Amino acid sequence: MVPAVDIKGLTKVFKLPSLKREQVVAVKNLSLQVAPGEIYGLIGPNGSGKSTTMKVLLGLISATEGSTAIFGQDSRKVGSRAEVGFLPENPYFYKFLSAQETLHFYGRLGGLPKKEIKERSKELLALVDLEHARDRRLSGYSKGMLQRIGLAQALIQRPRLVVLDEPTAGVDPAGSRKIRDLILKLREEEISVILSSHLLEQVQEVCDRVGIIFHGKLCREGPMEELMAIEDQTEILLDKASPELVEKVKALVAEHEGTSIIRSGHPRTTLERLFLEETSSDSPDTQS
Amino acid sequence: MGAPHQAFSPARIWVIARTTLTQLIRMRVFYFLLIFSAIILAATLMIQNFTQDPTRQLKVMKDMSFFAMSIFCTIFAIVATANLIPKDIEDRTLYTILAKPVPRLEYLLGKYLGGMLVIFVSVTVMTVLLSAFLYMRQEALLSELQEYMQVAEQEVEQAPIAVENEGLDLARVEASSLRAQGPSWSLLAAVVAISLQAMVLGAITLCVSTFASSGLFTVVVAFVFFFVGYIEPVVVESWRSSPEGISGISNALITSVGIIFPNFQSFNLVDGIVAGETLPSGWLGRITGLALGYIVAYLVAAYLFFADKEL
Repeated sequence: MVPAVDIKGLTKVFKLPSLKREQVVAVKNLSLQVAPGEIYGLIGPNGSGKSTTMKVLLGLISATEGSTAIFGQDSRKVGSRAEVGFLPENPYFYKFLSAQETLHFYGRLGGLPKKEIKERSKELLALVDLEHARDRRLSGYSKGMLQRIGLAQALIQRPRLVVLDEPTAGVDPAGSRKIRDLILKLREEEISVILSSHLLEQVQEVCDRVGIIFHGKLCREGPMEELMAIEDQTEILLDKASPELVEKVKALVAEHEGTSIIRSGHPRTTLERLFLEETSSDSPDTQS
Repeated sequence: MGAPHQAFSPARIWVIARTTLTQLIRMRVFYFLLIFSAIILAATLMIQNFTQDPTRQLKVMKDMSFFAMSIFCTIFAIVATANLIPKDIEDRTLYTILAKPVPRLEYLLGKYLGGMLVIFVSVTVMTVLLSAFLYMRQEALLSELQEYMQVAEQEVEQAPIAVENEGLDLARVEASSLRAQGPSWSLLAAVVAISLQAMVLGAITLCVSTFASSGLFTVVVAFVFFFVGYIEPVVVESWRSSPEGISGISNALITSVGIIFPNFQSFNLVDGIVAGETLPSGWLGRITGLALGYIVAYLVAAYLFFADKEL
């Protein structure tokens, strides 16, 4: 099967604008593949090379060494982008256009006929929950709304691959959750996704596989379950267990030499979950 | 999955151009047309205080209006084009555009075309305004002259003996001269020349903006091109006609400057047209060819700078 993304030995060196001919190696010999329909998380600290990798893949910058391909087609070729949707970090679209006009603009660039754009825009505005703001200019949109219209424009020409660079940057937890749900819908439609995010919990929730990039090198990579599992530990979560039963379990464990209980107590919810539970009532989008 | 990718698509260029036009319209750049109207109106009203000669009044009115039109087009071609690409890069809008199957050449052409559409709309509106004001003023002056001529003719008819009325003869000459100063095709020639000059300046500015570090730098360099292109033919002419002559190196240098900097004097037809001079034959083909040559050259240069630009 042809991979959605195939990056081989990618190296990107930036020449700094100085007389000393200084250089910065942003990405070093990076190789990765994303299977069709897979959600791949690319995580790493700021300046680790995530955005550079995505930009090379999209032909926005050129590779110093190595190759990048999208569904088997050299990604330097403009035609390869017919299969791709991209949402950059903190995108600013044309603020003078409305949501409807924005989708029309990107749809036409993607080669869609006008009639199809009309139908697709309706569908996408419903998907990203912006039907109520379709005729409002983007200058009046909040950050979360901008990210959602950004996602809609990325999907306008029904791409088979979506590249999302920090899609939830600066978005509140509710907006972030909406974007997470949209990414999960992409999986249902078997669209491949490359996702870069600092929200590791979100990456953990949505990604099938993850690559950790540090100083331009891919340090670890693998399926989420495999990477997250601590092989020599076992977790048992009991519901409505009496203190006596817990004591019995502890005693049983103590009977086995070399086995010990590391921690017991009540599991905690996450701050994100608590926040969402407390603020779950639907409210109209307003500019932050 | 979208439609099959076309290597070159005029439709995509048109989408970018139309959006650029929308951008500039919604930035309310056309407000300057109000200023233009005010200038023509002021010229119409004020000139009556300075000269009683009706033909001269229309000439000065045309002169001032063309000067304003030329200044507006020059400033607009430079200032509006200078920020089209840098702003898209700064706002990262360019990432989302080029992440679609859009070749960089199409993006450049779309942006240029959009800027030129704004100039086209502005020039059209300004021409209509100028023609309307000119027509109204011409009609008003002709009507005054007509009244005078009627009275003079009555006086001649009622005179007991045949007399010659010099004033009447002069008025007839004046009326004929006045009719020649109204809206005409030669005005359109001046408008075409101003538009072509603005298009060349737009191409230069777009080219500079593909590698410039700031919008200010782009604007300054574009104005330098304009002034050098404007004065260069005069300076070169005076150098070449000096008795000492010029060296081979200086000659080569002057020739290079002459190739890089367009000769904007070639587009200066306004003075001749206002003075009522006949346009040289083939002028339209010559200045259109010159303008197109420079536009293509600067757009090719812009593409070469932009094709491999790291975004």
